[in-house]
Amino acid sequence: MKEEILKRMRKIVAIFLLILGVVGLIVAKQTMKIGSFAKPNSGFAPMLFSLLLIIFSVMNIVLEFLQPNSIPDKLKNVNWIKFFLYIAICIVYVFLVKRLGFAVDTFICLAAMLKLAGLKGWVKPVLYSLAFSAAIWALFTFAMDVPLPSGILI
Amino acid sequence: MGSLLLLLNGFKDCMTLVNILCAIVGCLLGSLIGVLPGLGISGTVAILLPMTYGMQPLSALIMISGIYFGSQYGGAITSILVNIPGEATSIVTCFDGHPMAKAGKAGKALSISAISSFIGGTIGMLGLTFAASALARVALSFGKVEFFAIVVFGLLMLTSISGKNQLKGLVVVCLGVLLGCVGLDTLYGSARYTFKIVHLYSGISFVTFIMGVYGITELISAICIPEDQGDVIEFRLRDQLPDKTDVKRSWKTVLRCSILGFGVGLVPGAGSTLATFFAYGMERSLSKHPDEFGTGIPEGVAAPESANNAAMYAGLVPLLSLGLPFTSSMALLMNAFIVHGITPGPLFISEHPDLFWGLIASMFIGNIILLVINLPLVGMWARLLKVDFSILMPLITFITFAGGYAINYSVFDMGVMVVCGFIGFFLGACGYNMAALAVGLFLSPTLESAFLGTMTLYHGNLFAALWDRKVALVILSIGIFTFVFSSVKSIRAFFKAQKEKVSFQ
Repeated sequence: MKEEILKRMRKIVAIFLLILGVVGLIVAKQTMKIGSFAKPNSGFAPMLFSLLLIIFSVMNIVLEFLQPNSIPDKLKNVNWIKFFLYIAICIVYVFLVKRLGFAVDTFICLAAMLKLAGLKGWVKPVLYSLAFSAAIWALFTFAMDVPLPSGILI
Repeated sequence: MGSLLLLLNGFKDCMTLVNILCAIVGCLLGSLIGVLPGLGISGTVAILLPMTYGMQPLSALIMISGIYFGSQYGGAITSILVNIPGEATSIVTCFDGHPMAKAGKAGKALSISAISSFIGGTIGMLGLTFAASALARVALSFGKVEFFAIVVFGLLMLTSISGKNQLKGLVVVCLGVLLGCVGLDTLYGSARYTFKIVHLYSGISFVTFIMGVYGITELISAICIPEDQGDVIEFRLRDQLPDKTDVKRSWKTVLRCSILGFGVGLVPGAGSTLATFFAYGMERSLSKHPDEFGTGIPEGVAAPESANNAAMYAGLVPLLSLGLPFTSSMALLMNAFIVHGITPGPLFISEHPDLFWGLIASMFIGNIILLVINLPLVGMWARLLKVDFSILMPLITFITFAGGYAINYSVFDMGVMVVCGFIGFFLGACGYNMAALAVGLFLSPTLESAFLGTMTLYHGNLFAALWDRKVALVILSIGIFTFVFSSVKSIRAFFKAQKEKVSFQ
């Protein structure tokens, strides 16, 4: 990820939280009944907490802008290619789990993630993935009676 | 004295070979299933409950107790080893437990957790034995205003222990409470923040949420940050039990937090969760080295673990004497009792004293057996960290997905986990307290119900409500004072640092 973006990450996150508060307030006002202090309705608490979120976020943004830009310690050494690939594998996994079925989807995505995590070659990731996906599937299906999504195979 | 004799009778009834075997099987299965990310106490008890059908009531109760305590310990194992709390009550255990594991003291942290839980549970049981009926009356006298004050107090304490970032703590608490509003409103039945997505009508599942913000976030760090991948942690098994220094450092903490945990646990609602935060906050403020909290010290594990076990016993007070379960795991426990023909309530103690005292004794036996079987297994659990990270972390990712799915059988929940993990990673990296976010979400329904109830009851005048209910006023005042005190301290530190930067330039 670009260094300039990372340096501004604290500010970006603070503004993102403010936006959540504003969206929360607008949606509460437009779609919920607010009521009054004496007779609060279902939208009263969402509106109140959106307002509080906005107030604290504004204070937070002011404090963030008083500080110079710097990359948060935890983001300094992130391998961003791995990061986005990890998220991508998770998203693909969730989208395909109903179509392919739990066992097949887990096998494919686990193999990909084992490679991503640094396991060398293809034989080991495929074998491990086969064994672990079968074990997880069997554990949840037979031992815990959880009806895992079944797709084209299992 | 009468109570003690009845308890001894309970022990006599429980001490048969079959019952002890039931306790061992329950503890082992509870730990094994509870250790899977996402399957906290409620999930584990729900999954294993059918095993007890067809058993004698007392044997079934003993097995259920074993499962309950085993799964609680299972939650502590995941908190310590992989920083994934299975339940809200395990969140605080992560603060010091996981740093201890990272420093090669996983076994020590697990042993301290098991021993503290046992002592907390024992003190809780004694409290329950001698004060059950009197304490139930006090707990019942709390109304909406007290509930509101206690929840706000808990959230303020939580943000106060966020270290230098109280303001960020407040921001995420508000966000957590707001996220807790998603779904159908329980009072009026209207949909809030659902955006016509059917899956959101039941709200954001708390367990799914914490699996995302803790689990997925932790897994992202382990896979994507080279320094977090950690070389395989080397340790000698004989170094994995607490030594004299650890005992010396923690024994007072365990005693204090067990008593505190029992007191806080009597508060209906999120007693056990709040107890862990209060205990941790109290120990930090009493400590001569508060800065060491969060870096991996035995007191940081002993405090929440002893408090939550003692609080769990306290939570049994309203359940057994009044038939009122106030948490999801207590509701599940009550369901398990009903399945076996035992209906807790005001007449339960007088009509079925054998079962009541048998149950208390069985819980104690479950606690002892858990300690006896888990201390030798500490090495086995700790060895998990010796597995290559490039295999362990992807594997945990997919077990987490399966666990997340198993809660509501929902693929949508899997997606929520990924989104929460992605956002949680950046929030955590920028110094936002994830525990404050998670507890905000967890306490949101209690807070909303107590707040709206108070406002309706006192015609919108919160001050009149607090003035009328002095206990609530005192609780809230202490919370606000603590928060203001720690905020002033951190504001001063902030401006001092700014001044130093300017003068340096």
